Amino acid sequence: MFNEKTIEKDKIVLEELHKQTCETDESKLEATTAGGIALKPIYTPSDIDSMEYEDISAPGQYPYTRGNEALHYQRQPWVMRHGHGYGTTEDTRKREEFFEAIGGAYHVGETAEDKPFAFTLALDLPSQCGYDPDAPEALGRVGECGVSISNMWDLKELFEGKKIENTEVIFITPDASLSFIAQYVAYAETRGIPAEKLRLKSCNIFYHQWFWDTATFPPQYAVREGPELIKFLRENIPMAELQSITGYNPGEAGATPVMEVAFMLATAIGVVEECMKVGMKPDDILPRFYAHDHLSMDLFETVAKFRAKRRMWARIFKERFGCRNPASLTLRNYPQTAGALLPAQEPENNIIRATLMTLAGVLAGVDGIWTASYDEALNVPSEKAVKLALRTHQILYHETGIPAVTDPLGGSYYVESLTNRIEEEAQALLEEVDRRGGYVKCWEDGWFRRQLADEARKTQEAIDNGRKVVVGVNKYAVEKEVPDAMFRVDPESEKKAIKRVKAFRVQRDTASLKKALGEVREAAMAIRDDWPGSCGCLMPALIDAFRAQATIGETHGILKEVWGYGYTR
Amino acid sequence: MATQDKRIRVLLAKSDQDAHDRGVRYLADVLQSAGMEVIFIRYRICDEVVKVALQEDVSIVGMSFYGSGYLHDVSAVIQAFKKNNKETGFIVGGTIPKGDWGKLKEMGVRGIFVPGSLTEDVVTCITSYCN
Repeated sequence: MFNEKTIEKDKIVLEELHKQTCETDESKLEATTAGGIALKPIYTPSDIDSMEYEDISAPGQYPYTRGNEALHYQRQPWVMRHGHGYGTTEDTRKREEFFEAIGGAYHVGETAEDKPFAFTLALDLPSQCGYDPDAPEALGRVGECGVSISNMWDLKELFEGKKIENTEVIFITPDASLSFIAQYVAYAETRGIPAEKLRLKSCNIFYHQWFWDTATFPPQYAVREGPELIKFLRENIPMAELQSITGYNPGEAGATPVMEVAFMLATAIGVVEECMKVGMKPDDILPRFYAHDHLSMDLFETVAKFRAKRRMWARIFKERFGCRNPASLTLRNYPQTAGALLPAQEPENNIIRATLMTLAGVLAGVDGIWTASYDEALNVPSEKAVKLALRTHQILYHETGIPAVTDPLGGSYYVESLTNRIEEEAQALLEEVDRRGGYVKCWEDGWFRRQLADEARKTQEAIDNGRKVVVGVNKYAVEKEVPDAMFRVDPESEKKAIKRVKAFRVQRDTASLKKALGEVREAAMAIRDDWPGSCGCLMPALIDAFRAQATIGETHGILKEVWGYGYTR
Repeated sequence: MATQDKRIRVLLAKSDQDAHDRGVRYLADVLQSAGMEVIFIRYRICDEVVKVALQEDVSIVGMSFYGSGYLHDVSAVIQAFKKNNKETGFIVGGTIPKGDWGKLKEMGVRGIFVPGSLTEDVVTCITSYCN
C-alpha cells in the first residue's frame, strides 16, 4: 500500500520507537481489546502495508469498509432510535408523545411534512412469546418490560389518529413476528390503509434460542418463519425491511466482537439459504435485510468491528452468492448500546458509558442507534433517562462537528489494522461454523450457545477478580447500596389488559373465528409437512384470522401446538 | 443409601420466557465449584419449579429474573412449599428493584442478588442457611 521509501523510513522510526519503549515495564505494554485481540502500543504504515487500496477503498465504494454511502450524516442524521413501551397502550402512547415532543421524530419521507416516527415497540414478555395477558404463563408479567398487545383493540388504542403510513413500526418479538405483522396488516385494513402503504421493520429473530436460551419452536420449523414472512413482505409491503440480523443479543449473551461478526454473517447466510430453498434469489431479498448490532465500551474495537462486518458482508454476498445488486452488498446497521455494560451501581455513570458507545456507532458510520437509558439496570426507562438518551444523540449530531466528514477514522493505521484482524478471526470462525455443519446445526447442537456462555463466564470472572475494571463497581466503589427503581409500571396494567382481552373475546363472531383459526392450523401443518412447497400459505391465513378478530395468543398458540414449542435443552 | 451425599442441593430456576441468562448460568458454575449440587431448569409455569424441587429434595431454591414476574412467581412457589410443609430456603437474583426487596423478604426470601452483587455473597448466604 505504501512505497518502499515510506516503509524504509517507517523501519527506522520503528527502531527508534523500540529504543524508547524497550525499557518500559512490559506489563504496561501488554494490552488487548475487550474481545481479547492483542494490541501493540503504536501502529505505523508497516501494519497495513500488505493491504491493497481496494480493501479500504472510499466511502460508498465496494467493499464498503468505509461506509455504505459517500455522503452520510451530511445528508441525514443517523436514526435516533428508542425502544419504548410499558404498561397499557395508553401509557405507551403517552411515552411516545413525550419522545416526539423532545425531537424524537426523524425525517425519511419525501417532503418536509413527512416526519415518520420510528416506533420501536417494546412488548412485555408474554406478548413477545405470544401469550395473551390472561394466560397462566403471563401472570405477573403483563405490561412490565413492555406493552401488552394481544388484540385489535390494543392496536386501535395505540395507533388511532396516527398517520401510520408515516410510522415505521417494529414489534420487538423473537418468534411471534408473523402474528404481530398479520394483526397490524388486518388493523390497517380497518382504517382503509392497504398493506402496500405500510412502513415496517420486521424483527423476526426466530433464531433467538441459540443466544437467549428461551423457549421456542424446534430449529427445523423455526427457521421456516424466515422465508414465510419475507415472501409475504416482499410481495405485499414494498417498503418493509425484511429481516433483522441480530448481533446485539448475542453480544449481550457474551459474544466477543469477532463472534458477533461471524455469527451474524452465519445467520444471514442461514436465512438466505432457507429463502433460496423456496425459490427466492439473494438479490431479491438482501437489499432489505438490516443489522441490529452491539455497541460496547472498547471504542476502537467497536468501530473496527463494523468496518470488518461491512466488508465481509459485501465480499461474501458478491463472491459466494453471486449478488449483482449493489444494495445486496451494503449492510445497514442499526445497533444498540450494550445493556449488559450498564450496572445498577452509581447509575449516572451509565450516561457516560452510553455516550461513548453511541460515539463509537457514529464513528463507525452506522445508520441508526438505539441509545440505552442510564437506568436500564434498575427499571423500565424513566422519562428523565429517555430524554438524556435522546439528548446524547442530539448533542453528538449538532454540537461536535463529527457528522461533517464521512468515516473520520478511515486510514488510521490502528483502526485499519484492527479491522483486518477482526475480519481474519471472524472469517476463521465462520469457516468453523461451516465445518461443523452450518448454521442450523450449530444452533441445534448448542455450539453457538456454548461459545457465548464460555465468553460470558470469562468476562464475569475477570470482573469478579478485578482484572476487568468497572468503575464504581469493582474499583473506586464508595456506594455500597444499589439505588431503588426510579420508575415503576402501574400494577393495575395487568388487570386492565386481562379485562380488555376478555371483553374483546366475547364480542366476536365465533363461527367465522373458528373457521379462520382452523385454516391457520391447516397452514401450520402444511408448513411442517410440506416444506418448501407450502411457503406462503401461513401469512394469508394469519391475516384472515385477525380479520376474524383472533388474538395473538390464539394464532401463536396454534403454531406452538403444531410445531412444538418449549425449552429443549 | 450406603453413602449419603452431604452436598448442598440447589435448584436454580428461570422462566422460559425470560431472556438474558448469563447471570444465573454463571452462578450455577460458581455454586458447583463451591461443592454444591446444582439443578438448573427453565419453567413455563411455577408448578414446574415446585415439582422439581420436591422430586430432587433440594434445600435451596434460587429464582432468576431478568424481566418481570418475580413478585408473582416467588409468592406462588413459596405458597406451594408451605402447603407441602417443606422446609426450603429461597434466594432471588436479577434486576430486582430495591423497593420490592422488602416484599420478597416478607414472603421468606433469604437473599436478593442484583447486577453487581458478588457471587461469594451468594455462596455465604446458602451455606449459612444450610448449616
